[in-house]
Amino acid sequence: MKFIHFFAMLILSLGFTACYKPGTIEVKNSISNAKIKQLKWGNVYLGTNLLPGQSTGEITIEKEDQNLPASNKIKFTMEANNRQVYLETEELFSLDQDELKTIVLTDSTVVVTP
Amino acid sequence: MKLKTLLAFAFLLFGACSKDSSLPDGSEAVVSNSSSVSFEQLVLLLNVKTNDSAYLVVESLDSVNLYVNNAWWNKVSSLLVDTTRVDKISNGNRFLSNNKINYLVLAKQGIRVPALKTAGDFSTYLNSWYTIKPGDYACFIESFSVRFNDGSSKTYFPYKYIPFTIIPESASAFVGEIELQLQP
Repeated sequence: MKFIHFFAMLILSLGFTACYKPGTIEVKNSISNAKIKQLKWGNVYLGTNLLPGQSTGEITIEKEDQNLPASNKIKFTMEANNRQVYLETEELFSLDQDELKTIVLTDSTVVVTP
Repeated sequence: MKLKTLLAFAFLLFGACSKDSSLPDGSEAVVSNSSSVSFEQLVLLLNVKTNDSAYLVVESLDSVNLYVNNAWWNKVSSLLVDTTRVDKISNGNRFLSNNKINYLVLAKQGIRVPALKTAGDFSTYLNSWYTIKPGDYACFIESFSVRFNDGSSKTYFPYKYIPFTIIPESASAFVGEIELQLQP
């Protein structure tokens, strides 16, 4: 093999290995009688105004949004009966490159008010 | 030539790594009633009459337990009265006056706060607020407590309903001047 061919193959190999594969995250609101607003995974915005039963759909997390793998809390504002409260999950949710993570927020999800 | 082709192919591979991410629409939905004035407070004037048609003189009425229709509203004390300037006579363990003494009760809606640990707890808490709309209601005075001069206290149960009206865009309603009887 000529050196030039070897060099080209090396570049190709680097191209494949250096390729950043974004992760995908989806959050579903299964909390009774409450709307979820300003939903974030860490500082990555995922969606807003999710009624019970609704989900964000699959959100692609790009490198510029959050370098993966990463673990973050889900942060959101809960609204019900014209009153609202800012909450964060106690649990950290991890996401790796090329991973699809589905998170379901339920009545039993442990939350904190920071 | 081959090298150029291979390099171009490599650049294409790098470029293919990034793709558009489409986030859902982040616009805020309009929150119903968020711009309207929410009702918050009941205002009552309570006076307490004894059997001999005199009025009880105390610093305050304690633990006035109130309901609106059949929903618990709050348990509050009346505002303090400076009784040193009231024309009164001592009768046993209490002060009495021939002049009517009104006790002002300002009762905001009270919420019994549960232990808030889960999202469901918070949802229940937010939904437990009693949304009261304009209209006619009945305020129920279930009980109140009086602390006498000798330090003793007693709880009375007048079980009195007082009709009142909440007008639109008002934050408080005057329930009325209500006479309570001090049963023996």
